[in-house]
Amino acid sequence: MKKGLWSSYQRIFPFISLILLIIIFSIIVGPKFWSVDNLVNIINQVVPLILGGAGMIFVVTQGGCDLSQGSALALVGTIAAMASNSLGFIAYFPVAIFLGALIGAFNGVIVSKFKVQSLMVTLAMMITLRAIVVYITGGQVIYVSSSVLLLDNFAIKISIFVTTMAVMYYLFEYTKIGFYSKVIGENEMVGIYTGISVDKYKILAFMISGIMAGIVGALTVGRIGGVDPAMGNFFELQVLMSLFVGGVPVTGGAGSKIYKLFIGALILSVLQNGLILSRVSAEVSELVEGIILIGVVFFTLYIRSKFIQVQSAGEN
Amino acid sequence: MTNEYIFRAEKLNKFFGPTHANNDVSISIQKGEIRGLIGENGSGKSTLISLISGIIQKDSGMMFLDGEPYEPKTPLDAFNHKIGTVVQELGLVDGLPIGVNIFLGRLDMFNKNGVIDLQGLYKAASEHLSYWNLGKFPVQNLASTLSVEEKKMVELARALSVNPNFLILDEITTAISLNNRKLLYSIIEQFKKQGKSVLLITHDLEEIIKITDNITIMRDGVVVDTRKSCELTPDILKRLMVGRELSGSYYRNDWEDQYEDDVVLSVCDLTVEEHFEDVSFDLHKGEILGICGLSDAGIHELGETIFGVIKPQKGSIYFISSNEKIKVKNSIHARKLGIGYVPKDRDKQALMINDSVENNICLPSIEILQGPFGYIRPAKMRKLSSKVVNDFEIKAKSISQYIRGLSGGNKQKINFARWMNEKVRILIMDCPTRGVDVGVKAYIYSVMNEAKKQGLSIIMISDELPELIGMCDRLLVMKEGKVVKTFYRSSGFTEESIMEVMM
Repeated sequence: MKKGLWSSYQRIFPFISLILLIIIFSIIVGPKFWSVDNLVNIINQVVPLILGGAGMIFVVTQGGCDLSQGSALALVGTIAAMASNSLGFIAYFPVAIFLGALIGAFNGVIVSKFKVQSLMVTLAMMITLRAIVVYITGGQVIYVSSSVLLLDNFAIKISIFVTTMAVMYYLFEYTKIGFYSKVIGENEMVGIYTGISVDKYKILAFMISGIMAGIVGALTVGRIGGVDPAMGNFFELQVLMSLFVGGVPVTGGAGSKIYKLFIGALILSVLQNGLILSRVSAEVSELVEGIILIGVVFFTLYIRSKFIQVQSAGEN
Repeated sequence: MTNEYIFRAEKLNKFFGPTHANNDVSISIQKGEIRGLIGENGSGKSTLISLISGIIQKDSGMMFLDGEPYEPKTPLDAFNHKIGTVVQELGLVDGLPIGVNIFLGRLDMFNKNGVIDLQGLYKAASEHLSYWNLGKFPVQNLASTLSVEEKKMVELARALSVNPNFLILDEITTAISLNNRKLLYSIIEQFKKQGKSVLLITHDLEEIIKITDNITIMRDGVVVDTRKSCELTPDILKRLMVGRELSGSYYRNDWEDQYEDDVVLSVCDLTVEEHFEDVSFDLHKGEILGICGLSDAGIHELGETIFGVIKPQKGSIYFISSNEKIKVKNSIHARKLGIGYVPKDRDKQALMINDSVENNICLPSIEILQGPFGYIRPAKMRKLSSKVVNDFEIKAKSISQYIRGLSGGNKQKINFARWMNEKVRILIMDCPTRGVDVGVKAYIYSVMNEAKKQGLSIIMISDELPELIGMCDRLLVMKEGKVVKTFYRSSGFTEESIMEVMM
């Protein structure tokens, strides 16, 4: 019946968008779209988006956002690279993770304890961290030791990705961290009146977001083979876009799911990759990208509002 | 020729999907009549009110106002026909000043060369408030600064500002405390004297019998009967509403204060500025301790402070178990120790309305459900929520239904039932039966009574004296932030003696 349909649309709409895009580009671009080189390209683009998104999703679910991810990624990558140059490769990941967590904790404490909107705090943080990166590097590219370059190996990258995502999936879907994040996003007051430490879980969410930015930073430096002061520019916006396109509600709450992040990141990457391969000029391609994304987000929100009506009526 | 009826409806019908919310509803209200409208949650009262006030449109039937056909398309239409409404669906706009809220939709009258004359508006709003004695409000401030009760009073002011001949009040008394209720009664009295009419909806049976002339009873979308109030008793009303005999009284039937000697919670010299000061009391195992007071007595804030949501300036709360005295630090600590809290405003403070019954039920128990590595098994959550839904007879289509779609009574059952887990020793309940029908009320009381016998201690904060008298072992009466008197069940308490201390 009509009511049952809305419920399934909500679940399958992002999948349909993704499949449609893939079919369209398979036709326009031809076999080149399915070549191994191109698939690796897409994976290389998707992996950081999903890793960053897995951190961001905690913050977004609580109804906030972390705009500092891109700059945090650059700063963490820079410092971790310098640490591995002086202390050896063993310090590379621990430094990246620790520093990411530290930046996240700083964001989280200001947002929760001083009750400032996360948009403002992380926007300021984004500018500040980028300035520090430029100051440290002097605007130059820094080269890194050869052991860091080994990270650009496909197998290593994929194993890091799979392990990290398994942990994040578990934390988000099966522990109280994820559960309480959804509660905070639905209604913060409810959290307060049921005795949940709202502040603690906000700080934790930003720390997770920072840690994921750190891991992406470490992988990015390995991929580029050095520190580029401009790396991670607009990364946070791409990550947010992946989440929203995949159907994570902009207001956060119970509708957030990790699988939606996967779909969203794939839609975004396939779209960008396909447009490049279609030899559309840069301006046109950005215009097309923008229009398609607006359309997807619009329909996702529309379908979600219908879905809430249906769920309230109790039809499945 | 003057028409003796102010409002008449004939064979109104309204469907919501397959639900027949109003089935051939006919009702006639005379000029100068105070009419009560009563029925269980979901009986179609609110639908009827929404039809009259133009919030929704009828599917068929006729309405007449003062003998003329009346077809409101919007709430503004109703206002223009001099029908003043205070209904649940039309709240205040939080982001606008109180004064603007009062004249919302009719700002044209303050139009001065295309600009709204705010000074004039604020002046008119203040005069309007003081004319009806509704209290002093800073009319320039945003509506979001008001408490639930103050908002209701401003909504009442808005309804009165259209100079109505017909006033509709939907469950307004449940949100306001005794002193404001007195004020409301006097306004209603004034209406009657001027030959104007009032339609009043409330779940408080004693109240509706006392202040109305006639009462119309609805059940399952149908008008069952209209009776003279003076011939009715709460028991007859209950039977008419439910359609069957409710067994016995729904309160406790013993008149002894029964609880063990063990103290489970000790409150010492608790002070929160502007709300209450130096409040001290002990709560015993298996005791129902009532707290009552007028709107500025600080009873609701006291409850929030005991649960740790508000931080006191002075004093402490001790949780006592097996001779260990633990100071309660905040709400997180309180929940972990085994203190539960049922907030007054269930839609804003207690429930995630766009989330499932399952998640809402599991919320306070999530940490109990945790396995090794913090693993929360979905099957465990389903099991717990199904059990609660069954045990407490919560009417939901499934545990995945969203809270938004449940009736007020079922929402309140969830708000309350989810704390009844094995860990909770003390439950603080703020207005536990606010806006729920007699069936759910009776159910909540019986569960409280049962839990009390099992050793649960309950702090019951309420604006309704009959339920406090009916349920409490001890009753603390607060006035202007201080505990002025303690009543004991065994020595008997009457509404009059409590009111005397409270006022």
